[in-house]
Amino acid sequence: MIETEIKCDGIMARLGEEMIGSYDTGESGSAIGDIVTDLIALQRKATKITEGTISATGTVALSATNKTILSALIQLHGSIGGYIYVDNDWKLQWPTTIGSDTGQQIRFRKNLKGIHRDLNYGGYCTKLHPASADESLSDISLGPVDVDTDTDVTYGYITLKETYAAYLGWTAAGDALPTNVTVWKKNAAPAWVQGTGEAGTQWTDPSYCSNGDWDDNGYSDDDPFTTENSYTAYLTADITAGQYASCKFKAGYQYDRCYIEISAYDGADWTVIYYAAVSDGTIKEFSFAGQNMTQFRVRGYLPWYKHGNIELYEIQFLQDDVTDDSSNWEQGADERTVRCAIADWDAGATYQISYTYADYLMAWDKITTDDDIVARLVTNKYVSYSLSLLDSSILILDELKVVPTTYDIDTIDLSHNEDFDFSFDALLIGSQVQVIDEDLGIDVNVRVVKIEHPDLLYPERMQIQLSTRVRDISDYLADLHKEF
Amino acid sequence: MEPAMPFILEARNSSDELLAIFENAHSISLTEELNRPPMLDFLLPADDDKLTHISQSNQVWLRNYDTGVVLYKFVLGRRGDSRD
Repeated sequence: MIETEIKCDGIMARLGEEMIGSYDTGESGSAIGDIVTDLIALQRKATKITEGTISATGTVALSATNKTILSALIQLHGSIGGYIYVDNDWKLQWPTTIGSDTGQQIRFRKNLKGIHRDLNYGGYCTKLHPASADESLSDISLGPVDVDTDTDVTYGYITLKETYAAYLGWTAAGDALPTNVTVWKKNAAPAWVQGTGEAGTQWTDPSYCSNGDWDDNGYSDDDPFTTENSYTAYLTADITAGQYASCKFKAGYQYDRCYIEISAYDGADWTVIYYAAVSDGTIKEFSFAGQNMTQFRVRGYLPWYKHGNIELYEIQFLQDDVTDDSSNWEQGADERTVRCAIADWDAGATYQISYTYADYLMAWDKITTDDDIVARLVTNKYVSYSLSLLDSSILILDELKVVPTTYDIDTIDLSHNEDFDFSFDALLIGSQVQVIDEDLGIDVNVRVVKIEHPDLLYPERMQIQLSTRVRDISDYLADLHKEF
Repeated sequence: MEPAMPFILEARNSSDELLAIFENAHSISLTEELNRPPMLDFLLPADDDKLTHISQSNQVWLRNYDTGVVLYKFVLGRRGDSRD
């Protein structure tokens, strides 16, 4: 007898037949909902999957070239999590929660005929080495950032606060700090600082400036004043070298309204930290991304073909009293820790650190001794930007640091258990059930991750997989490479 | 005696119009898995006229016979012929 076997896939598989020529959010990323909208719009087939409710949120940097929409969605799912499926109305749904606890109970000698519990240490990992096609974790440098601190009789300790973070170049306790690590010490209240050489404050006198193109009365020159969007005058001044993150100034203008631009110089590059229309005669205070400064620059701009000039009364920057304390520090017992002799520890100071990520993450909450370190390489060739790589790697390590416990229920026999309340209809993918086997010491609430009906002629015969981990990420990454 | 088939398989075109019911389908297996499309396998006699409706552009719907609810809609993944 000749028979034909038909294998069908759910509608979502259609997205595996739709190609993305090139899609790139850029390194700053886009909202997950916007990316899904963009990707769904790339379908070429006449019958299209439409966008349903995308409850997953977050910003992701995604770069996809010559990939299917399905593989790009899987890549997104790897960074964001949640549950993804296409419903019978051909709508892509992405909830963050799925299923519910309907009170279903599977119990040995009741409705459970056979159970197999599997703790899979093969997928266990406490040290994750992620790799992508373009970038690596060591492309990410942070700081200065806040830290955790501690002391004992011998040392003061700084520990990185970032999730699973390790700094690049750790070798052994007591070795010199790697060059990417800088320890900062802040031990006094911040102070407002003027440009070098300026004396007294001039909040009421516009004759602050006397160099550059500014005249003796503090006014910018009014020539040339007919060039659109060009600066009319500037002042460049030295300032005490240090870290600054706030500025306040008072400016005014004559004739037509001017714009003011303020830039900071760190010894190598100029960075614009402020650009806005001048608010005549009021003190303006603003914050900017903290950076080391040795000079600042103020420019007046006329945005149109107008006539005017600005006057600068006063400008000051708020300097953190931060010093580089690295010379007192050395590597700690592991790559999230640095230490200093207790004699060099300043209990009154606030410490911060700058560092570059190592090319791996460590699940520190699972590591007591070095013997607890279990390393695993995970290759995700579709993540192109280092921040996305970091985000997805944290998500993966969240999963892999827990030994997954899987329960395979061979069959559930309800036919002889009329006294036992169990509803097949309530047993859905994602729903939670309680599994009890006193002999095996099992009494857990787990999630249904897979249901197999080997023959729908007998729907009560099914094999159910329940797991404490909703998805084996390593399997998932293997899936990703196969692109289904 | 075999129980009555509790599910039926329907061939539908891309406009959801009914083309055929595969009443000769047997050994129907269904796999549902979190975050993956469901998978459906079944067998048909190779000489079943309704095999003509198995094509890339058509769909297969799995419907609960008693309730009339469509559980899942599928697209063709693979087709193979074998002799026992």
